[in-house]
Amino acid sequence: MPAQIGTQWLSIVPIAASRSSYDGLLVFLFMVISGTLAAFAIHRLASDRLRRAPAWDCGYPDASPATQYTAMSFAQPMRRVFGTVVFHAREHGEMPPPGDTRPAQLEVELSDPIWDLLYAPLVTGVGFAADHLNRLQFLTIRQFLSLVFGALVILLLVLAVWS
Amino acid sequence: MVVIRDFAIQGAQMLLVLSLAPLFTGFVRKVKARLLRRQGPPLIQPYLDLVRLTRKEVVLADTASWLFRIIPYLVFAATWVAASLVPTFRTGLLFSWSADLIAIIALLGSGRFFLALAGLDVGTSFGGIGSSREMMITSLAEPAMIMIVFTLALIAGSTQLSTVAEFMASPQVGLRVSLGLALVGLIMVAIAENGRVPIDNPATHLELTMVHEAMVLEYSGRHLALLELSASLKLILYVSLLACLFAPWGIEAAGALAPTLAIGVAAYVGKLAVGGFLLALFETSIAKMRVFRVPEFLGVALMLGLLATLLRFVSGSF
Repeated sequence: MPAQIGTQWLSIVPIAASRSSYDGLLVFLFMVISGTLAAFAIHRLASDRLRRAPAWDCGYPDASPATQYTAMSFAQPMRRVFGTVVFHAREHGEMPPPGDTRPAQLEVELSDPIWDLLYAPLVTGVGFAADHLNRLQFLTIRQFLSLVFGALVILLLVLAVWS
Repeated sequence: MVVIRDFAIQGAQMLLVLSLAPLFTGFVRKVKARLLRRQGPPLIQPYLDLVRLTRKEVVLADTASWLFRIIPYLVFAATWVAASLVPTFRTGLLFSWSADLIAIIALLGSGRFFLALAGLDVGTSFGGIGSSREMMITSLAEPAMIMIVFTLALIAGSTQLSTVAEFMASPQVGLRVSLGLALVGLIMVAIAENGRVPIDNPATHLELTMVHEAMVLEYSGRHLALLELSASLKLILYVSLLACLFAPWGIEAAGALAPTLAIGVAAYVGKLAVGGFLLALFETSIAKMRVFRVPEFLGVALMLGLLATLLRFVSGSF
């Protein structure tokens, strides 16, 4: 960052000041001052009284566990919007024929692409490596010492070549 | 001396947006009422509401945490700082170099994050509905906004709002397709971010359709006053942003002398009036959408932003 040299303390200028520049500290100070100013002005000039009461909740004060907001409910709009595109949502409805006493079933199947594409390969790779490296724990002392010695030589070689 | 003058102008900008924000909200409400052949509340009604709310005592829910009490101040500070960084009557203000357009979007984004936390804090279901819907809208509106910023940055060669505004005011901009797409996209994002009519109705108190109002349902007194002021500030911020990017006429350049300052302020107030009138006209001519139609609306904004950036990449003349 050539433009960074010679600029003020804690300000970031990636290319040139006319293109983009940031000063995180200044913005933070700016926010602290305006927030404190607002709090001070309101508490001084208006009211600072406070009363504790049950949550209003638009007139439904007795929340039952069934209506409580959960992580699942928080994600629901997101899942619904991105469901078919990103999460490959599939619904399987199962309606038993007349005379069958089983209840009808509705299953929603979602797959998380981040898990499938990023974490799952990583987990598989680590598992594969762990399985195969497990044999190293059952070496004889002679084999083990030569392994340590070989590793040391290789590391020193790497260090010598690198520096 | 120059530093003191620059400080004074920056302070004037901060006070200007803060004092005009409730008036602007009142103006939009008044025009909307007149278009519906109603008398409507007086223009200064939002100021009276703010004063009334700040004088009342706060009724805090038993389950509210300390975060719930400081969030109004956080949201207000973030929105006020963001609004005072957008050029209104003059470019190149003292602090305008401390943050560019991306940082302004980030400030608004953090304000919204804290507001969503406040919605969840008390543990009531309406607050939760509001928060989850707000996050859904944001997850679509913010990518669109970033694409629009990329388009503008590619055209103007900068994300610094002062530089962009000066470039847009210069004759070298020309008529560009990508700018038109960015304008339409930005208007759609602004409507969504401010919770205006096709997305959310700021005047509604029908629980199942609320988004922003549902998040602030548990707030009262001075906390509610601050959040309402923040909402007004956000509205005026987006109108100022549209004005300084797409109608930068009359904005005083950085080194200009005092007499043009009055012209700059008058032009800004004029632009606000036009913007407020158009917003009210648009809001009265359209019905509110169902919540799950919103992704389609914002998808269009995202496509417009994407298309504008792509067109700009493919050919420099677009």
